[in-house]
Amino acid sequence: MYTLAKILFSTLPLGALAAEPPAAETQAIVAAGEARSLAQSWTVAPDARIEVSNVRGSVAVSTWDQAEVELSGRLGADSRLSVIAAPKRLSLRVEGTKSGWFGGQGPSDDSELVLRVPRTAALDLSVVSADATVSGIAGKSLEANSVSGTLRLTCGAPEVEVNSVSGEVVFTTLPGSATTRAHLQTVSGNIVAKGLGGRVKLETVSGEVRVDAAAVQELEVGTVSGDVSIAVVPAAHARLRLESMSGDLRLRLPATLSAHLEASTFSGGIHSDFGRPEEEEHGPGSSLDAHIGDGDAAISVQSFSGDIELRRQ
Amino acid sequence: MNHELIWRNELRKLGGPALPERDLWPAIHARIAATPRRGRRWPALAAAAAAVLVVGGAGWLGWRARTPPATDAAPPAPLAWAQPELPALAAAAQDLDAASVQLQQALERRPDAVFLVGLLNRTNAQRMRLLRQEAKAR
Repeated sequence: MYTLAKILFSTLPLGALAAEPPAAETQAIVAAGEARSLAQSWTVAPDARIEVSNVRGSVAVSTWDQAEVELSGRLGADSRLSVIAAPKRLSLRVEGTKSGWFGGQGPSDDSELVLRVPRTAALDLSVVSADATVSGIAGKSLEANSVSGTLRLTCGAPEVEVNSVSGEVVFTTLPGSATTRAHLQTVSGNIVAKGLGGRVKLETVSGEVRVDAAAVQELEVGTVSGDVSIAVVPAAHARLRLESMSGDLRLRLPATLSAHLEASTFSGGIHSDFGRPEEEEHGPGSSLDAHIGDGDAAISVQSFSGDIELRRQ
Repeated sequence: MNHELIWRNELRKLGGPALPERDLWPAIHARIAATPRRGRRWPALAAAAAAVLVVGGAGWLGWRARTPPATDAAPPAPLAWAQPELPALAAAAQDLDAASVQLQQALERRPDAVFLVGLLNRTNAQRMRLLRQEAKAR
């Protein structure tokens, strides 16, 4: 048996047993001493995964209906753009020509990347202090990471993952599209989002959250001290859970709501259009337990010391 | 020779107790009255200080006996995370550490606020993510 296998593997080309992906091409574009302009393009699959990474400056991504990625803009002085290109994956990463990004050894100049990518591509974007704008991506997924740069994202991707430390996140879905899974989180950056749907998860420590969401099946919100304001239309049998330590939670729900609504706070107040909250007999705190309509959705709102506001839209 | 017998014989020769020839107390009283007041304040001050210590100590002991151990403990310290070097990440790390301490304090006050455990876990997960971000950027 071993001999037969040995003969087969030694005589047949590997491609006859499994389709081997085309080899990726690597390329480095260097701006030594002074900045240089960028004008490159790569042919990719329409559903290719595009990875873009920049430290400082900006990134602007727009889309077109071509199976090609076009790059223009400017590469900062003493910076290197490392490229890995394959039909299914294109990686563009700006690095300093000196090792390390911190301690004064990172890129000393801003790089401004302007990209046009296939509309149906998936995008993975990482920035440190660079601001990023994405418009039109409607591929499988959008992932965006920032430390302090602002993220302005307009997309129709069904799966969205956005992480920011202190940079603001502004997210909008394309008209006629909706997310099926969206996870937006920051430490201190604000989150402003419109058009979220499906399974939605929002997390912040001290950032402010303002979100409009429709056809939500699951909503999970966690904040420590940031205030949250959400207008949501739950889908049938939706599960909504909002939790806060000291941030205020404001939830606007449709007038035709059908849900079992539970809310409680240990030392904050509850203001509700859906039933009368009960005050604790001894000490602060109040709670609300209301059945509205058929009560098929389940909504839980909990706060330690923040106020809870439940309003009809 | 027995020295004790010798000493006893000599004591007998001294006779009984002797009274002073005059009343010595008026002279002693006069000398006390002539002593400056500054020197005489110390006993009073020492007594007052002792009284304060006794009353204060008793009060403190009583307070300790009535105070639950939880409030007597030091505030919870943040986990010993490594500190990021990038300023924006370092600032965020401070925010997260402060949030973690606040959540722990809230949980100590109200252990039945179970949902705070979830927030604490998320906060720690974000703190971990900061370290990964810095490591990735290096």
